[in-house]
Formats: sequence, structure tokens, C-alpha cells
Amino acid sequence: MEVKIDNFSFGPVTLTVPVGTTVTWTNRDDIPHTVVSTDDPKAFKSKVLDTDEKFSFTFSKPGTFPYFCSVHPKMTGKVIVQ
Amino acid sequence: MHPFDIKTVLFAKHAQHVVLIHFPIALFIIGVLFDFLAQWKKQRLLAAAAYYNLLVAAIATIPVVVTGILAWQWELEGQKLKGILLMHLLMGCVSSVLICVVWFIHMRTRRNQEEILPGYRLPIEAVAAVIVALTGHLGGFLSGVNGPG
Repeated sequence: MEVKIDNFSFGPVTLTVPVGTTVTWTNRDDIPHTVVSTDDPKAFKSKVLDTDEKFSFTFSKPGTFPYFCSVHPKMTGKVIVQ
Repeated sequence: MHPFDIKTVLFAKHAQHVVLIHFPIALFIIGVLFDFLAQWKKQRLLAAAAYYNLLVAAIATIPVVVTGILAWQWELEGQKLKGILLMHLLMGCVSSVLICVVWFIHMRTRRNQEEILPGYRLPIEAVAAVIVALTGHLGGFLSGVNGPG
């Protein structure tokens, strides 16, 4: 499953996947972005992704995993693992 | 996020660096403009206005540099920067130094009670204004203000 980062937004904003799915975020924007779990402790956290760089994370537990871009905190998304 | 956590107060959805940066940029560019006008019109009042703009611009660089470095260390956990972020960091440092150098030239002249400011300051001010503007443009591009967002 893939989440595209483009024009200062994650798409799709909410992604629903089964347990064990690997989600890959790809930065299609001209601007660097990050993918950081909002939870504390953080379930996942990417390095700064430049254009066309990817970050993958495998969701091994069910739950709702909100995340944001730490460079642009208004960019938010959510992965629902069922 | 905890509302009393200093990182939350300073950065989460507030991004103080993005707010504070406008002060040194505006003050410095206006200070340089006043200095060029003072040079052209030979007016002490404009020279004084230039000096105080440059003084406050130099002071305003301190919180801007601090919040910029803290954002890097806290939000990005100090990871090695590259691309636009690295360029913004380096140009921000150069801009801050140049703002302080320009203010120092003015301050030294006033402290020594000299009548005439050194002529070499004008090209330094012009170059500094361009670098400050470019740094601000990169910052705006990163934040989405000057970019496609």
C-alpha cells in the first residue's frame, strides 16, 4: 500500500489496511517532508524525505496510527490497521 | 502532546522560527534602505534610523537562530541535513553573521564618534540584503509560503 506525499498533503489522508501490511510513503513533492507517528512513544519515524524518496513501515498490530510531517505539522494523516 | 512540554509550546503547530524570522529580515532590509538613503541625502536622521533598525535586527537574529537550531534538533532530531534544508541552514548562518557584521561596523563608528561611516559597508550591506532575501525565500519555499503549497 502506498501513501503519496504531494502538494503539502498525504494521500490518501486515511488509509485502512489489514494487520501485517507494509505501507510505503513516497515524497512526490518538491519540498522535503517527514512521516512521524503522533503516538508517544512513536510507532514510526522517517528521516527527512527529499523528492522521490520513500519510507516504509509494517503495521503488525491493529489500531489507529495518526501521523504528521514534523517539518510541516499541519500535514496529517492516519493509518487504520484492522 | 503535553501542553506544558517546552517542545510543544515552542514548536508543535506553532513553529516560532517561522514567526520570528520576519523581524530581522524586515528590520535589516529597511535599515539598509535607510543607510543608503542617508548616504545619498546626507541626513543624520536617516543614519540614526538605519542604526537602530540594524541594532534591533542584530538582536532579533538571536532568537531566530536559536529557534531554527532547536527545530532542527528537536523536530528532526538533529539528523544530517541535505538539499534545501541544508542550504537554508547554511545561508541562515551566513545571513546572521552578515547582519551582525553590518551592525558592528555602524556601532564601531558611533562608539569612536567618527563622522563618516566607512564606504566599504555599502557593498557588504547590499550583498547581505541579497543573501537575507534568498535565505528567506528558501525558508518560505520550505514552509510552503513561496512554494506550490
